[in-house]
Amino acid sequence: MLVHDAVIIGGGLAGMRAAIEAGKEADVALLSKVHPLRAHSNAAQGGIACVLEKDDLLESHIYDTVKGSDFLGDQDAIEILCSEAPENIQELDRMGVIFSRMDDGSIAQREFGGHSFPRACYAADRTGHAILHAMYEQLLKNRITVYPEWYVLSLIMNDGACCGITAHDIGKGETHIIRAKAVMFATGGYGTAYETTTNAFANTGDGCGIASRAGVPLMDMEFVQFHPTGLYPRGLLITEGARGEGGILINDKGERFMKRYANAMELAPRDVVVRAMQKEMDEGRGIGGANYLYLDLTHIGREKIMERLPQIHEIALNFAGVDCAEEPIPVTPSVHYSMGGIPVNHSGEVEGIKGLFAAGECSCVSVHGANRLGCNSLLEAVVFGRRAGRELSRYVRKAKLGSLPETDGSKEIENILDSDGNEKVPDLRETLRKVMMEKCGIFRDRKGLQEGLKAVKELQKRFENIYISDKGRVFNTAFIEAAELHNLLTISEIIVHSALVREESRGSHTRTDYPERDDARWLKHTLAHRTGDGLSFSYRPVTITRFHPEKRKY
Amino acid sequence: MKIELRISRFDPEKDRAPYYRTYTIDAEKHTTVLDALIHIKDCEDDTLTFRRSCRSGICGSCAVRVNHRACLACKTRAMDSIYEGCILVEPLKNLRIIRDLVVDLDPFFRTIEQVSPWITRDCTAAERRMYPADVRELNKTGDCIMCGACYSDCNVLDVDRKFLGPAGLVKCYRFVEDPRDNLASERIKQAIELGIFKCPVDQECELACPAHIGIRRDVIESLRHHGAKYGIAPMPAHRRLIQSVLDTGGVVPVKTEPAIERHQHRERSFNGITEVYFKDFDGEPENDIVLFLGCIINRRQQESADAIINILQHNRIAVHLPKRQTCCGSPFMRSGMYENMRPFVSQNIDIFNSYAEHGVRCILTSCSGCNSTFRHDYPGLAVDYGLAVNYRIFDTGEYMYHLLRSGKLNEDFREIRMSTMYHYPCHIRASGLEEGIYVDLIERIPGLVLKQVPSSGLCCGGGGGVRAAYPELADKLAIRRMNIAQEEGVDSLFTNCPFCILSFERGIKLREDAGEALHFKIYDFYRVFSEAYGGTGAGP
Repeated sequence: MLVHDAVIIGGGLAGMRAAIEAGKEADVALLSKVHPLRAHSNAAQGGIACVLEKDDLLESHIYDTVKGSDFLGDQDAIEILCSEAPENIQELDRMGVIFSRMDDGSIAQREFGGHSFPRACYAADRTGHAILHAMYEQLLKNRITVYPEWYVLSLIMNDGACCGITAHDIGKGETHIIRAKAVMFATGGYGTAYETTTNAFANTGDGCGIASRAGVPLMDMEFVQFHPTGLYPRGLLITEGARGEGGILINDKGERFMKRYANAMELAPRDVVVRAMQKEMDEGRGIGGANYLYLDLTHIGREKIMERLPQIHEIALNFAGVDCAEEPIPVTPSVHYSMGGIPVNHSGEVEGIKGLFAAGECSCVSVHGANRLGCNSLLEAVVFGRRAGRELSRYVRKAKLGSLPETDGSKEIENILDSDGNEKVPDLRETLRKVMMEKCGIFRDRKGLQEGLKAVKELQKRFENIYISDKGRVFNTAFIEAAELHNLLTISEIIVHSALVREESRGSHTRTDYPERDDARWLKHTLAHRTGDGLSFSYRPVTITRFHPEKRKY
Repeated sequence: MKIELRISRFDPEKDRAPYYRTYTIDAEKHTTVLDALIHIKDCEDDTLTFRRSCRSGICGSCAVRVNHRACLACKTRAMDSIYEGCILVEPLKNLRIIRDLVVDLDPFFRTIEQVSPWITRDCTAAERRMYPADVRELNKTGDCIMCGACYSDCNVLDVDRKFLGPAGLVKCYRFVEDPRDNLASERIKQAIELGIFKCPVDQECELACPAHIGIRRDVIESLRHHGAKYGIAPMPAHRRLIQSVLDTGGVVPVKTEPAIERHQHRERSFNGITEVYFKDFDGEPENDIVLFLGCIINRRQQESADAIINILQHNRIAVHLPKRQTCCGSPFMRSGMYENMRPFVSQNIDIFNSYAEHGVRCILTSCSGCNSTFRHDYPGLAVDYGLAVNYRIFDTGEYMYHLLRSGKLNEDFREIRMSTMYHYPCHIRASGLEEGIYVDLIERIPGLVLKQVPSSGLCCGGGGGVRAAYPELADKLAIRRMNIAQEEGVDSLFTNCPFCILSFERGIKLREDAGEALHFKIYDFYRVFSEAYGGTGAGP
């Protein structure tokens, strides 16, 4: 049996940052279903937010984030996020991140949606890639134990405490128990629950799904961020930085339609831009009447595009055959980020469950509330990854290994291998993705959400009858895809049900039947608990320290 | 449209060796190879195993080989990859296959770990200041996604696993160039130990690299240059070559009379330039060109020089052979000793410009190595040295191709019955000249049949100074190339690079001496063409 002080699940930015921090004093293992260098933090393009310039103010970053969150973000957590940003950026610079620079040698910053000052530090349009690779270098330097291509199947709980995990070594096809004093999830988002997404295939919400089935409530899962500019039709990310560099959105009439929706135009927060885009398309002003619009960068000029947005140029050329220095890029809103997740305190601890931690996109601190601002996710990953890592190492110093219970819940997943049902993973998954897109997308209403919930529950039922013909042990990706679908189904139910319950419109959650924000009833976090066959809901107040909710205008 | 994929399959629990299975799917213009693989897995066969994640070319998971070249499946369009009716998809090379298209990348990741890939110094904020120019330099390598494509297609790794491989060297260079790091000379020393001079600069890695990293010039040759600056490079063998250039104007010593000395009665002064002049046909020439032989052809392969002159005479091209032509400078560039090359480069540019002043603007090279140096390195060097460039550079075969396209090539060829394969030299490719140019030309010769396989990018071992420093490695590469050609059903190679020819001929001799004759022949492009015109010499 494998034993470590702590196991961190997820090799992206938050997971690696935590592992490096905790690994200074504890025996930490990082387990990831893809090699850490393949993590989706790679795909973050535009930047990482931080107040560096003397003309910018910490207060302003905090306020922008609170306002961006539609006042659902917890202001004490947001204050930590913003005030710890500068030391974290300096640390990344020390670690070797290749940030783009100003002529005076300082770190360059660009405009980003919802930020009132150009405070996005960037590495061309490969910021996530630059940070992730530098973090991996630190992981090597610190000799952290890594289990690459291991897939977590379940949390092992005993008496309200977490005492390990079961995990599947994909390459060998063996399942192991890993005992640990503490477990941390840093498993990222679940974008593949939706048909059109910027996310990678690996983003299947494993941590949230497993935590929920282990009895952890999930918070604010109704808040699903659509990114305005996913490349049509694949949804591949075209960074907001493209708009930060001056890119504009155009409808079928050639009109810069954002002028009718926001003074901030294309640099309004994502929820605002996405609603405007969807409205344009719903009213028939998509390009050629179809479900996409144009992002025009042609006026920026080839030279600046190649210097600051080289990856965008390549993605558009490769996947849409568009040279964005000459022609506009076809874009459509695409599911991008999960504001909700496993509720944690400022040190990444999951309250009520000893030895369980979470950080990054799979967690909910909450710093993003109902809508995340661009560039705050990489920041959250390093700030709260580091904090969680510190707490993790403090925790394991005083904690003891828990004793293992008799059953651990992994069998039900492993049984998929032997099942002889007749439901196929791709069929169920593609149906789910359509349901989520149609019933729980940008604009929502009770009828659609009820239908969506019913459809998801039917899919869960059908999943009991799942069948994969691949019976091999070694690198059985059909099996992994089935287990991932299991998680997607678990969290999709929570997303739709949470959205059905919240009868107001706030941030990314827009109910056409409840078009206004309703602070009297809904200025609170949703907590969805798994209870036997369904879900029950409880609520938690929002922490408000300095900014009282006001009408949100851009 | 229906397309066919031929996919390498291997299940370690069932199969003894990989085999191929063919699938047919519907594809559209933007369907990628990854889309195709996913479609097959979802709809036809869920046991098909491959890695994938971001599908946008940034995570590096889906590196496979398509039609014998490593690439990211997510960035490779299916429609552009159909060869002889199907798309061949195989796992990366040089790595153990785990299952189907999944390989064990551990050895690859270990090469990265070997170069201590982290900033070693804890700088102050002031020391961490970097300027846009620094970042531009770092970004040349910072874009590496570590997909392993370069490792797969590296020729050297196939015969020498001690070689670090391209990605490790890229990572090493990334830190050498970082002003926040302070281990540059130690890192370069390590790079030399791990094989920076084992690279024959064949650029297979670069062709495979989905992040478009200039591995040869921006990494390998830059590292060599840094090494020379620190006085720890090049290797002793390279220093001897450089000394030979400094002493004699060429890397190979003079043993037999150089081609340029063999026509003394043709020597004359052309507007003050001493040259050997060839115009053995009646009437006005179609054109006048300057021929730059390069040291190997001039000193070792004199027959090729005569053959080129013969080819040009048959096309009514007058040939000016300037006697003061000197080393192209490639040995300096390839070994990192840029500082010593100025007199040579200046002398050549000066000669070329003098001809251009008098109306002879076309410079033809017979050596592909010189050609690549003139094309890639001279323009920048000319700027550095404050020299103008008024001439145009052509490879001789390329020039023949231009004649062919404009209907001016004399196609009065004798039949030459042979079946062979064109070996596409890396220096020719580095000059931006496509394989098809030469294949088209060669196929003009009646009776000559070429058996080409999709660019398999195999290396002769003769480039980049490998033969000097690691002769055994060069020999292994040459013999491997010929062995694979034999597996592909030919017993000869047809090529137009003097390095390739030297390398292969040496390989053949070695095997003969060892009593394991290869029964393999090497044909020189120029000599065969000259023979097709009915003569081998340039006349007395």
